[in-house]
Amino acid sequence: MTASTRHPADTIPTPPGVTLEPGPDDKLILSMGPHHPSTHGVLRLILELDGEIVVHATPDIGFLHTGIEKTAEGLTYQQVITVTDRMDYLAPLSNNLGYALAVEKLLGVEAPPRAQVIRVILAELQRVSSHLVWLGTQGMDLGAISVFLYALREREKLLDIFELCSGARMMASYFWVGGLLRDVPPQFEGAVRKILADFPARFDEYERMLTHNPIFLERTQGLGILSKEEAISLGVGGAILRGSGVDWDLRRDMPYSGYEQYAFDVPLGARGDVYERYLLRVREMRQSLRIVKQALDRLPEGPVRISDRKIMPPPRAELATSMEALIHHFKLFTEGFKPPPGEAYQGIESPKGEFGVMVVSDGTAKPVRAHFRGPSFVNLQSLAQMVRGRYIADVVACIASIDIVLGEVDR
Amino acid sequence: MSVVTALRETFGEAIGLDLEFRGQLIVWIEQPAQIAAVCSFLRDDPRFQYRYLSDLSAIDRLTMEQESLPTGHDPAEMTGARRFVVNYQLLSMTHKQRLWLKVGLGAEAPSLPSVTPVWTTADFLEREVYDLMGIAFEGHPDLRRILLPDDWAGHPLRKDYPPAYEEVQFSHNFERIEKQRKYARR
Repeated sequence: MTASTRHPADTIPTPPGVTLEPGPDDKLILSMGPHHPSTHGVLRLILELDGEIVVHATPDIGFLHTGIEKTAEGLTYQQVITVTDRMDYLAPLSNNLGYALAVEKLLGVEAPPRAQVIRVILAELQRVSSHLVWLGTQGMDLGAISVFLYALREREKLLDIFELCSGARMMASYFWVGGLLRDVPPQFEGAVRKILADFPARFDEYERMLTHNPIFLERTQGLGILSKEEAISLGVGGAILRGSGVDWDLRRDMPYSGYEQYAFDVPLGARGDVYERYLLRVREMRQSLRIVKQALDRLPEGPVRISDRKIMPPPRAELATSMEALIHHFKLFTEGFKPPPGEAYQGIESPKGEFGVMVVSDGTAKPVRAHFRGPSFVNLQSLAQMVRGRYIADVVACIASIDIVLGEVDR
Repeated sequence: MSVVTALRETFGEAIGLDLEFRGQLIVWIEQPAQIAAVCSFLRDDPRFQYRYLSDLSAIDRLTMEQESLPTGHDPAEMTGARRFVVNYQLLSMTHKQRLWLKVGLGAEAPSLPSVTPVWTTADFLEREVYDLMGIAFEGHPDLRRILLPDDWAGHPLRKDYPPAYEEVQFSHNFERIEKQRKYARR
């Protein structure tokens, strides 16, 4: 879609309440959402319909806007981690990772090797858990409710692992600037090995339910097509970008957190439709497990926090014996640390695409500006292109294939 | 040829300072009116191919205590002629490189040309900056609020738009609280 061909329906004001009024050319204007089970949260679409055919779709967002960027300006650098959890709430650890890496870049420090490997393990498990929710909802939106139940059963096992590490199942806040909140418990390795042993068979099970399911094929093949050029210009990421044939993955192409040390394939598609995105995400989950296995095999011993006490608080035990440790602890938790003046942008491959964080410091303990480039927010733009000329029922399949999380769209 | 040299050759005066910070290449564009032309050059030139716009964001430097980058600009401009800074994060998938463009804008009615003709993705991103920071993008096909309700007053990410709470005073932040007090809601 180019700028000049934008449809006049876009300029329709969005008053509160129902907007079921005739549009131009006797088209029906249908307000879909924000309270609609298939919009994955509080997405509202203003659909202009010709019969059952969508002429134009305009997303109306912001119902979940919580001012996270403004909030971040009032928090110290370490405290901001807790609000990053709440953007993409299906992949909080990926958000933690992007933010922690951005601030570490600003500070010019790097997390210790053990912390980096644990970050990779958990970020990849997070990718699987995020994709599982996508898989379940994609199936459910098309009527395959059993997939949803199966996928969330497996996600439960992953949430147990996050709980084991951080104490929280979703809002983990586990990756800190300069390392981790704390080391993983001894049961961690066994729990992850169990996942590695169990999950491939589960993925086979989902594929048996969907990959050759005639109804699923009928509903997804040839739908929501984005060409390679459109995908790049629209700035979409993740499986949508790769589904359209763009061979790009930040983990491989601009590695961070030591991703260059792991062998993994980046699944690439060509057709750019909903079905291709389904195939890619399932293959991505298998690749994630491959990375987790390699990371777990090489998990080094050592500290999980950098030793710089001006950034990371000292171990709890030291507080009882060392006055200096006590002072550092107190200063860090009241005042926080002060990165040198500077700006940093860090993009990571989150489950949904490029999650970018820009942090700006003027030498004080709170960021002057923290900006988050949410992949869901950017990917949502492609919806209008995907659904043009399709049936209303296809809109649901397209939304699901974009895999939006409204917490991140609205921030 | 480096991208900075090529930009200087093509756009001359419009290209300001370039600097490298923590491995990031940052280029200042001195003439906001040129931004769309610069972006379209960077996208199409076969030597660079910055075909992907990762991010577009803005900074308000009204209450900043010092400049965040060693730019050589007069820090006094942070409340006036260079109060707002718009950032463009360009990505070249061919060369696996990022480029950070920066444009400084004045405090009064900040505006600059839209890059939506260059990248469709700028649509939502520019609307977000307009909504939260109050920077207008000329030529944007549909510039209206995106996250906040249409009848919202003000632009919350501006520094003179106070958060709805008062910061707890400690010995280290008296000065900052004092500085921001004048913007507090009455």
